[in-house]
Amino acid sequence: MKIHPDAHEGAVHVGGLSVPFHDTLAPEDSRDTVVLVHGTGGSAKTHFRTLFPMLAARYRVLAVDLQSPDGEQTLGGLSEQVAAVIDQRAPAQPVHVVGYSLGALVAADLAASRPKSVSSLTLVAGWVRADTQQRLRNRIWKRLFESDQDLLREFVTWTVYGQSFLAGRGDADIQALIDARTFPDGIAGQMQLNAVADLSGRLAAITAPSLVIAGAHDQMVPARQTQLLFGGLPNARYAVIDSGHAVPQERPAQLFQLINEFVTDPAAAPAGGIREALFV
Amino acid sequence: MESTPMGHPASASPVDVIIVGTGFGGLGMGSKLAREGERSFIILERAEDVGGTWRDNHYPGAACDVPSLLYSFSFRPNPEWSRMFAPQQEILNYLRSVAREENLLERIVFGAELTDARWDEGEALWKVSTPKGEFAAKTLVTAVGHLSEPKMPDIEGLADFSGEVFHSAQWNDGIDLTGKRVGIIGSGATAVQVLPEVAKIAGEVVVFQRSAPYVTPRPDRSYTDEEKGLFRKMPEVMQELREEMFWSNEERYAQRRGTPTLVNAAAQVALDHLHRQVEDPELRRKLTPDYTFGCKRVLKSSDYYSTFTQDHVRLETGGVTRVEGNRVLGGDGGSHELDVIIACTGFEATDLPIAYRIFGRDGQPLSERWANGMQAYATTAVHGFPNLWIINGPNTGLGHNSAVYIAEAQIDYIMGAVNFRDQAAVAALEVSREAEDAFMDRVDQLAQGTVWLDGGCSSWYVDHRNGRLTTLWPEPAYTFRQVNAPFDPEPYLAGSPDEAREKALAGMR
Repeated sequence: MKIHPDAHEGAVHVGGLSVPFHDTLAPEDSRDTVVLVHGTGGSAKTHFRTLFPMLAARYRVLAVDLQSPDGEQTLGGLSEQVAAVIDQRAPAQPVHVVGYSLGALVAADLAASRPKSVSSLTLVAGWVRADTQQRLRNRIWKRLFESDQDLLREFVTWTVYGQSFLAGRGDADIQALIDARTFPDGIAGQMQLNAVADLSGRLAAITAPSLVIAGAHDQMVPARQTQLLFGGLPNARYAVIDSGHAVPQERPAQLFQLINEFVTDPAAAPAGGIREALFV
Repeated sequence: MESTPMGHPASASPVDVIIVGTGFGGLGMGSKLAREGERSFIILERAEDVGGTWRDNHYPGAACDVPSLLYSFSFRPNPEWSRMFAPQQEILNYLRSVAREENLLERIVFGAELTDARWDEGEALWKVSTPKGEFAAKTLVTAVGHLSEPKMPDIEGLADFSGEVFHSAQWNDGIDLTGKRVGIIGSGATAVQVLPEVAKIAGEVVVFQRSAPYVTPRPDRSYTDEEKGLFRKMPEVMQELREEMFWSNEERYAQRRGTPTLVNAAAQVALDHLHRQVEDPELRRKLTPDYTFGCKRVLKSSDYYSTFTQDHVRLETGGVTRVEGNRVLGGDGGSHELDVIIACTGFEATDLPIAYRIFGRDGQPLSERWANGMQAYATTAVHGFPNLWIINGPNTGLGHNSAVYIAEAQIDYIMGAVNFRDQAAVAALEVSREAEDAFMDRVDQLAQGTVWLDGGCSSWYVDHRNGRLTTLWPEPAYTFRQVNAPFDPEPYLAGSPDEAREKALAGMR
């Protein structure tokens, strides 16, 4: 089933890869375009199943399914895939780019290398360069991937979700989350990229209005690591969501609220400011 | 003055504000006014106790579908909830404690049902009649709820039923249902809570369903002593859980926007729940809805479906055709001799009875303004009705989140309006018809593409007179607060001469 009834599915060819996209563009649709870039081991459908339709009620939404080339993966290679999809599907106007997890680093790379294509940049649960805590988890992941993928499914479920998200579910629901976890082709290469990717020194050149969103209880990308993106981007605002790493799955409605308000008028909130959570 | 300035006034002396109703809306409004301490006010209550819908609906099994830490005032968190989904008696006790501890009891006039409220243009006052006397105020705030007037089904012979009949909201405690043959008319939010409890004691139960509801499990549990202790010592933990519940509910809004992947996944949760609890294929078929998930209210119960597997519980799917003596005839041909009929048939939600008792400028009844369906600017203000604000009126219901959050947003709006009016020294604020119509057009536009209009069902969310979504807010709850809580004087000044308008605005600067 399509991610949204209005989504056209197709693919763009770049560097020997066929990169799928999901695009709600309809004739006469003059609304701004929001481009979604998923994270490690994910796809538009797995990471944005709720966020995509929420955004589609207000924007043209164009989501990319990143593909893994043979051999080593780089941020530049992945951002070229996103650029190719934008060039073919939405070349006329700059677009709002939203990247999640590894997709946040890809989106930042895109904004640095193609500033004219990006009208705003939203980075969710991203980081600048993996620290020792992240690299330790990455090593455990690799050893389990090679030795015991059943245990890896449990390990990833434990690390990806926030404590309250897991604690609020019954044993059967937790088991369903574990069972649903898959390790698609290319995930090991993406994990390797997570360990070595480095945006140090490149953020200062990104002038697009930016919004950096951290998960307060993120065990995979600790909030402090995400805050460094806020520290390095010259035109950024910061918001935190009471969530683990799986922000688009744990708090999609709050993520939508933040993205929607930012994209509607990216410069409305002053750079360097912190977006407070709404009154509940 | 015959009374203390903020206390119960003599009937003749006007107060600043009259509030009607002591449910969440009325007590919330009263709490805000009392805490601010700037205005005299009274609260009119038709019964002898506070609590509104939570006082009246005391049927067995009555509980709320929204978790209690969220279904409570933001300014009065309660660490004592026994469970995630507190039962009715606890919610009622919470409201009683709000009335007591916010010092509202001395301002409430009990047994004072509003029978007539008229705008007096000359004095710029609302004149209100009740069995307890006449009252007058600059401002009238109604907070009578949209689920307060029981709706009895129109069934041939029901009035002559030889057994006992009552509506679930007027539960007859004098009737012992033990061993009795009981008919339940309806399969909505009330029936789902009533059935499991009645089935525990009745000799036989027949549910007369017209359309099957979607029922999802209720993830209820008790709070432990440690949790309650933590809530008392660190109230911020309650706030964290409240926000978690709020945003989790907001996610369900996405299911109402007609996205098949999300709607199907949500529907599957209900269907899986049905399949786990009911094995008989015929019974499953009868309990499977024939419309899109979310079009009618989605219900929560962990023991509704399983109750039908008991030998003494039956399901009729064609509703009730007519009643003859002690015999109730179902639409599918079933015939049942019964001792008691309980009508779980809901409330007058689209045609609010209080609208027939409120008369605005030139004596126009609100019911006339709303003859083709209700509408209000910012969901609270109606052209032709100066200084009247309505809590829980048009477009304030939610299919997916807490009604208390909505009422608090409206209360903030009303406080903003009253403060503006008094600071600008304007006698009356009346919203322009243009602003009201433009607001409704916007609501209509937002409602397009939602499951409530396109889901292929009939529900109390849509007014059959105009086909409009008049009871629900068609957006996520958080936008209700963003759109409807901030007060903007502009739509109220549209008709004023430029000079008066400038003067009013200057008063604010």
